Amino acid sequence: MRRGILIGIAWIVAVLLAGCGTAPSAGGPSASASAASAAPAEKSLILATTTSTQDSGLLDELLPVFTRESGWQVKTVAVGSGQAIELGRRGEADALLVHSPEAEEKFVAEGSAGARRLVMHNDFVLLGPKADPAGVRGTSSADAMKKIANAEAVFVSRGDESGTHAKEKGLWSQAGVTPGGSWYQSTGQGMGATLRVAGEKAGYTLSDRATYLTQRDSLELEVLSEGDPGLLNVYHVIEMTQKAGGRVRADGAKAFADWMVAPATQRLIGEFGRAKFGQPLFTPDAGKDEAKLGE
Amino acid sequence: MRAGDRELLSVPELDVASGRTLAVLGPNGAGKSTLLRALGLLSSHRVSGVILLDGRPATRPLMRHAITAVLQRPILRRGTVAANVISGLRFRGMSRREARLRAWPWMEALGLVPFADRDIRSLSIGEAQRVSITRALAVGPKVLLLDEPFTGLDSTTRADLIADLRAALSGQPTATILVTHDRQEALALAEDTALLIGGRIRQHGPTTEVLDHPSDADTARLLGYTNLLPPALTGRTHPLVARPEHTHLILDPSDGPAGQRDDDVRPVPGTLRRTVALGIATRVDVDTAGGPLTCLHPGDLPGTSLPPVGGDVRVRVRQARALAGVDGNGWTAGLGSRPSAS
Amino acid sequence: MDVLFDGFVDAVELLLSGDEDSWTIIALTLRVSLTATAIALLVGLPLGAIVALARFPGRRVLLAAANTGMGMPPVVVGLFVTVLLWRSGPLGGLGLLYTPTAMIVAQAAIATPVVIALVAAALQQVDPDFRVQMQALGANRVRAFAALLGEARLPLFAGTMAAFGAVVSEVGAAQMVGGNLVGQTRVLTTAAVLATSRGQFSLAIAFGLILLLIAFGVNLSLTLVQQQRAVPR
Repeated sequence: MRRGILIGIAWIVAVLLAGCGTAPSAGGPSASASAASAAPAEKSLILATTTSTQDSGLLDELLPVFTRESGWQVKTVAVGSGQAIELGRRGEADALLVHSPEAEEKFVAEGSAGARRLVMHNDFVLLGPKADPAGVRGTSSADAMKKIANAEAVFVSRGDESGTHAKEKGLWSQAGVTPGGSWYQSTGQGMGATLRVAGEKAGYTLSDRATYLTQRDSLELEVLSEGDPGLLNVYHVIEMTQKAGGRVRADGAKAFADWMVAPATQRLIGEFGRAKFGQPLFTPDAGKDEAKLGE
Repeated sequence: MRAGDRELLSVPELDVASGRTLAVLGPNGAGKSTLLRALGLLSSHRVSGVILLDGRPATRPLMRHAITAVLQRPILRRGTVAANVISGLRFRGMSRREARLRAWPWMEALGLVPFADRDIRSLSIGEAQRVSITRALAVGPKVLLLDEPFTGLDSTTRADLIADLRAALSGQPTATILVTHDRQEALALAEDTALLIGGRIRQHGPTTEVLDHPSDADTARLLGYTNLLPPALTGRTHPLVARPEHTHLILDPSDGPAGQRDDDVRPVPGTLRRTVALGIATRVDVDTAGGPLTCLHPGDLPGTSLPPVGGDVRVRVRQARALAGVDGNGWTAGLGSRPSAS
Repeated sequence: MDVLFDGFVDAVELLLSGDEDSWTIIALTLRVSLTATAIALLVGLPLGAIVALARFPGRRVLLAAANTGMGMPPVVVGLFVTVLLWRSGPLGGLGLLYTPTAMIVAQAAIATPVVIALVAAALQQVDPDFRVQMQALGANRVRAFAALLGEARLPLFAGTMAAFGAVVSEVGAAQMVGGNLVGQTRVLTTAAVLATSRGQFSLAIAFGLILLLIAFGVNLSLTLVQQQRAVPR
């Protein structure tokens, strides 16, 4: 009996030791994480970005390079553009990489954000089932939205206040349609999940090209409408300042933003995806005139 | 002894010598278990007063070393019979091998050797209680506390266990305190008996004396003197009490007159309410002017020899005891009630 | 069905290839879940024992709260912890958000009510007079309590396993307070979710299978201890 108790105690101790013991073996990240609390001078910044940059794999490619070159650790929080901007507003993120231009401009006008710079774009594509019940193939985006609404064909929306969702709402208003009814379905999830819902329901949806390309093989969706200037998906990097919160790392934000628009980084962005998909997923745009994109 | 503001128990003095057994006899809820736990310093309630062990005030460590207890339910630890029997010795720091050597004679005395390696989950309740008792004895305690250990056992198991315990205890220097509601257990095991009712000791003395001399209505009921005869019925100055076994219907009109023995009472008239055949005895309930009486006749009374229900009968009461401390008025509350669970 | 088979193949490959990223994820998963379980035990065992054995006002309310806590969605716990750890939150100065420590805190918060409730249930199912009986055999209070723990060993271990299962399999809180950072706070569950949203289904299933394997390994070792003979001859 007593041995049983001893074993029980030994188990608890062992668990504790396991917990402590693996700490060093988990390597640098945890060490730096615990150091973060002790020394605020430690170089770590929080990047709030959209799910598309993470789901496409772009950040996995870029961030290790940035960390190597600058010494800054980046903690990525991949959420919708709406939540990303909200995190910035509360000072819970240092830099934003988002694609919801109207909301961004409003946000920057509030004054807590610093510089906002153009980084890159990709474009949105209107996807639908091969059968195309609403007959939108090859039409302009506004016409396509109208036809979908008239046919009451299933349309799957992100519904998460992301940049993609904002873009979709813009298209509906261009088309003069207020979507609603059982054909209009909102997932409230990221792009990848929304694509799969659309695929399973044989519905239409709006997606950024990058996410679509990375998942194309597992989807029964085709590009039905593309190339329209209204379908551009433009990414900006926004630096936060201490006006948003006393703990914002403005120096890290600036380092990250500067690095994102640097020529070498822009080349990396331009190359990303070319090997795998035969075409780049993003077009680097740093320094360009935003009004002339897509021309 | 108190729980919050409530007084649970108040006992002026109680002592038991080594080698002797004291029974604390009381009805359910009298505070017997509370008293036992207070004596063993096992209680979570507030205890005021002194507990002396060998004449010295007992501390918890001293007491822990001196006592073992057997509770009403056998609480055994997961494992084998042998492991349980030695657990008291193990708590005292003995090695497993030594504990087994020390416990073995007790296992033999209580007949547990064939069970030694049995898992306790396969034991009957009687066997489990036997293990619990052996476990307490194996320590060779200065004081053994028994909290109604035989309650809930069938009569054969109980009789065997009582006999084995009595045999095991004889010659041991252990002071034993048995708490029970059963006067037969007190008679079988204890030289001395204290009656505990309502948290107070009512009587204390040699068992045979205490069991045979109730002092008031409560102790009378506890001791089996459940027939209460008010002075109006008997013409005596004090109320009388008697056991049902000593209370009989007068079936033969020519039955001799009263007064053959000192403690006999003149026959009491009443009406027969019902008769119940109990196999080894026949119970006859009679209503009298002073309340109901229960008669217990040995054997099977043939129905023909009994008067009809509602008929007039006379009841003879033998070996009645006078409640000297009680006058004729103060005890009628107890009249109509049945004997308590004892 | 191909996806399931591919997932199985991927899982085997990940484990055999010694892929550093995967092993980092596995190590972090184990470290976070086991530490959180241990903390939950350290906190929950005394609290559960008090709730089970002591008599005080509010005891039942506490027990009901613990039982409710068992059903609390991890993502809600994650949200609480996130708000607490926000830079603008009361503990923001610690800079713990998006670290394994934050995940351990959140998961310990998830597991503690489980431990409290199951420890209380385990101890209450032992005879209420058990400790009195042990003391009446010569055990001091500590040993009597230890004997009680030994007596309730089976359900106590079951409670430990339930707590571990609750934390190792949850994704909401881990995602929210950890942020799913590569090499830092990515655990098997969040990795599986990410792989799913990237359309890498077989990889996601591989992570799921590895998670299953880990949970099985931990539970197997706990079960082996649990089922040992209670009283050696």
